[in-house]
Parts: sequence; structure tokens; C-alpha cells
Amino acid sequence: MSIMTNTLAKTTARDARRLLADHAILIILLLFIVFAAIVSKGRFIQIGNIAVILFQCSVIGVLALGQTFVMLVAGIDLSVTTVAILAAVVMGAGGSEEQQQMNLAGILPFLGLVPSIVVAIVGAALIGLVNGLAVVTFRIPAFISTLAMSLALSGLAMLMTGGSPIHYPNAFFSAFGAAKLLGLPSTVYVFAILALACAFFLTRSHIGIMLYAIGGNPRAAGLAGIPVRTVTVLAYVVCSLLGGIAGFLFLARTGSVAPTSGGGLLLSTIAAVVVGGVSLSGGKGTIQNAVIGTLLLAGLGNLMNILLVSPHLQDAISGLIIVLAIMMNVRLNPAS
Amino acid sequence: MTQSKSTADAAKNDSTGAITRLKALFAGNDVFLILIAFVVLAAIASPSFLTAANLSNLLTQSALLGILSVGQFLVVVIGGFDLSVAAVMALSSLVFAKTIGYGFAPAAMLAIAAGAGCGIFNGLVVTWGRVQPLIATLAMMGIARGLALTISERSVLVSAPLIADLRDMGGFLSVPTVIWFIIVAIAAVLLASTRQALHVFAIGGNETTSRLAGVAVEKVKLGVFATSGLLSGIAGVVLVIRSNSGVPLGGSGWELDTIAAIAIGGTNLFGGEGKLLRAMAGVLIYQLIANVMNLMAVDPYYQNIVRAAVIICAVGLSILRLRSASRRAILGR
Repeated sequence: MSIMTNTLAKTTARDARRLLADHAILIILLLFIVFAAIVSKGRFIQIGNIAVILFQCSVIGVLALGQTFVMLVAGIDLSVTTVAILAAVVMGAGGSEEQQQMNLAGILPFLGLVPSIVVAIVGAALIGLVNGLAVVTFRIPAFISTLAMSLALSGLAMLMTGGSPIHYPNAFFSAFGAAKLLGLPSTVYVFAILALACAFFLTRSHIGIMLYAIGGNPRAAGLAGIPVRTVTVLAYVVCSLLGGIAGFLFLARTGSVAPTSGGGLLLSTIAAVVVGGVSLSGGKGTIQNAVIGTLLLAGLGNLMNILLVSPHLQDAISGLIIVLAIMMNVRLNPAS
Repeated sequence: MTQSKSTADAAKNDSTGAITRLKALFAGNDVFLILIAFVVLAAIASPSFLTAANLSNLLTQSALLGILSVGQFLVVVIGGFDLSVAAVMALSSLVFAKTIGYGFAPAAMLAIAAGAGCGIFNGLVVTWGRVQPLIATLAMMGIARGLALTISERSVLVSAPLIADLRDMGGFLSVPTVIWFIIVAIAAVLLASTRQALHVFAIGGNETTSRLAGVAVEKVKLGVFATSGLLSGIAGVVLVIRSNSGVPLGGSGWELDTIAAIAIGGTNLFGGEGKLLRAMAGVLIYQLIANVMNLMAVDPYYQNIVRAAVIICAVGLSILRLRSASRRAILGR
């Protein structure tokens, strides 16, 4: 009898530990919300403020979704934020006649609204194709090839506008950004729909499961008949495609874009994914956790805004908390 | 007939021997040969390149990147990346510029200590916290840059006469260049003669094996990250000497330039392999390309694209070289 109780207690303890490890990041988020609500004297959890947080994190969130795909196959895409900015520049400058008259030095012609969106999104996907092929065919480390791609793309974005920022994109973008449904801006819905689609794709589709298999052990995946190279390239294409969509959301949210914007976006994107427990060595991580990581970081930024912390100090504190969160995640997940 | 055949054989042997020798020469010193080739090309492309003033300027420009690259080299050899080198340099330059009122030496010590502190933090996060170096140093990049900008959003002008003297001192070799050379000399001697240096390469080659062989992996890693931070701290002081001010946005993007430069210098980006002097030749090649593009007044936007192409070619070539080397090793040749 006592042995049984003992075993039961042991199992319960092990289950509890497992539960804790599986949901570490969710628990951290909940603890953070309670903490933030107390520190901000309730302002943090007001409906209006939560809508603001969701609005602010939609761009980073979509970028984080794409980064998750690439990280699952043990890669990294350092060019995805530049892809977003380049896409926003193409849509902003190519889709507005008014803006076109301002860009005297730019090389991008007026394309019209819909063609410019199509060019931007298709272009983003093609960039992903190049990134993926560089990694798969030439076996250049993803870290280096996407970094070089990022450099080249920022040069290209500069050339397109002659270096000047875009302040007069087509009115469609700010109208889209301002549109609301049930109190939430449309960009939040785009993020939510994409997150659901990605989560469904990764857990329910063949290719999604192949992505996990490749990240876990590429050689074994290859021997099991998985087209490793094709699926890896696909991950980069999806990531870049989402980068293009993030560019659209960026333009809709801010109503303007400069070829140099997006410097801080990259760190936030990678931090969101990694805080969410997606492993850099591949094969581990879920969309849910990447989204939770995004929410956690956006919430942190928002709390510091409420507490009137200066923006630069915010960067420093964010860096520190990112490290602490990842360390906690690693400690709770001995396997990773 | 036989005689002529043997002569032909001998000639063939001789020519293959020459090719092998040539190959060995290239394999051993290709970076230096490329550097010389670039110098010749640059001299042809721009008449103002081979002037003493421009060459001196090129060395001074390379000094900061060079000092940071020494630290980056150590971290890459041990199998990591240090993305915080440039941000820590900026932080240290501000600490130095803000405290120089207390005297040159105390301020310099404080600035270098700040750099070393960031390095030790990186090392602890990587060893004790078990966070991947890429992420740990990426976070440190945000921390250091944020702190630097919190200290001051704008550059802090330093009016100490000693700094002005140091800046104007030296003829062809400026003070930053001399400091860079001294650091490289010390690092090269230590790398060639100490047990710890051997451990650095061993860990980069195979961490598990090194641990099993009794290498204190965690301690060596901590030491390498601390050294990288220390060197970034020194670079911060040199930055103030060179530009007469503490610059919070100084060296943005350089973390990647250091990696590209040492990759051009033949350092294996997967760890375990590399030669410091060749890495430094890589720094010179990288700066030389930027220098020539400036002399030829290339549009800065195109410069970015050219830099990207250079990085890809350098890394691609180094990977091809590694692949053929490992193939040779497997085939026993």
C-alpha cells in the first residue's frame, strides 16, 4: 500500500515536472502578466492596452512565425527583416504616384498598387528560394549566407528610393492598418490567421512533420526517404514569404517606411522565437511557443513604456531578460 | 626510344612536382597572395592608393576592426560567435570619454574593465547558463548598445590634451595601428606557446573529446569570452584616441565585418581551425576593398552589395577548401 502511494507520488512529481517543462514559457508569460498588472497598478491588463500590445506585436509575430520554420531545420534567417523592409519599400514606393514624384533618385518605377504588392510578395519568396539554395546546394552556413543577403537587400532598398524614406504610400495601406473589427485592428487578425495556419501546417501536414524530422536528424530523415533538400529550401521560402507579408503589415501599421528601418526588428524577432523555446540546433519548437515568446517580449516593452523607462534602457533591460528567460527555459528542459 | 620516354617521364614528374609545390605554396599562404594581388589591383585601379598617406590611413582604419577581430577569432576557433564585440567597444568608448576627467590611466582601466565585464557575463551565460553563444552575445549586443545610448545619445567630445597628442603622434604607423600590432604580436606568441591555446583549438575541434581528455572546457570558454570582451574594451579606448570622442553608435555592423574578415583569412567558421596572422591579413583585405571603393567613389549603396558578394565568395571558398581538405584526409592523401 505504502509502496503504491510512493510510486503514485513519484509519478505525480514526474508528471508535474514534465508539465512544468512543457509549459515553462506559458507559465513565465502568466507570471509576467500578474507581475505587470501589479506594477502598473492595473493599467497593463486594461482591454485598450492589450489591444495596443497585440497591434504592436503583429509585425514581429509574423516574422517570428517564419523564423520558426527555418530554425526547425536547424537554420537561421538573418535577412528576413530586411526582406520585410524591402517589400514595404516596393509596395510603398511602387504603389503610390504621389510618392513616386518624391523619389527623384530612386530606380523603382511606378507599378500600381496591386502589381507592386504582387512584385513585393513574389520577390520575397524568390529571395527565400535563393537563401535556401545557398544553404542546401553550396552548403554555406545559413548564418553567413542570409547575413550577406541582408546586406545586399539593404543596399537594394536604398537604391530603390535613392535613400529617402517613404512618407506617402498608397492610402490603401493606412486604411487597412486603421480598419478594426471587434475593437482589434486588422493586422492582429492577419497575424492570428497566419499563426493558426502555420501551427496547423506544422502539426498536421506531411511536410510539417518532415521539417521536424530533418531538424532532429537530417541524415536519418534522408535515409527514411524524406526529400531533405527540397523541404529545407521550402522552409526558407516560407520564411521569406512571411517576411514579405510582415512588410505589408509594417507599412499598414506605421504608414511610412525608410530603407534603414527595421534595425532593431531582427533582434526582437530572433529573441521572440528563442525565448519561446525554439532550439537553434533544430527539430524543437512549436508555433504556440513562438507566439507566446512574441507576446512576452511585446508585453515587456509595453510595460516599460507604461513605467516611462527610456527607450535605450529598454533595449538593455530586454537583452538581460531575454538571456534570463532562455536560461530558465534551458534549466527547466534538461533535454534541450 | 626508352631514353626519350624516361626523359618525358622525368619532365612529367618535374612538372607535377612543380604543381604540387605551387599548390602547397597557395594552400599555405593563399591569403597573403590574395592580399598582394589586391594591393596590385588597387594600385592599378586608383593612382592615389599607393601613397604613404593612404596606406597609413588604411592601417589606422583596419586597427579597430583588427583588434575586435582578434577576439572574434578566438571565439570562432572555440566554436562560437561573438556578436557583441562592436557594441561593447561603443560602451567602453563612452565609459572612457565620460571618466577621463579622473585621469587617463584610471579612465582607461575602467573602460577596459567594463569591456572585460561584458565578456565575462557572456562567458557565464554560455557556460553556466548553457545558452548558445550566438544568442547570448546577441543579447549582450542589445544590452551594451542600450547602456551606451543610455549614457549618452550623442557622441561625447573629449577635450583632454593627451588624447589629441596621442592622435597626432606617430608617423606612418599611428597609435591605433601600433596598439593593434602589439596585441596581434602578444596573441600570436600566446597562441603558439601556451597549453590554454592548444585547449582552445581542441575544444573547437571536438568539445566532447576535449572534455573526456580532461580539458577544463568551461574555464577555457569563459576565458575566451572574457578575452574578447577585454579586447573590445581596449578597442573602445582606441576608438576615443582615433575619433576624439566616445561614440554610442560606433562600429554598428562591425560584429559581422569581423566575422567576414576572419573568414576571408581562412578561419574555419565551424571552429577548431585558423591562423591568427592569416585572419589579420583577412582584415586588411576586407578594409582594402572598402578603401578602394571609397577612392573610386563607388555609391555607398552599391558598396553594401559588393561587400555582400565578397563575404559570400570568401566564406564559399573557405568551405570548398575545407571540403576538399576533409576529402583528402578521408582518402588518406
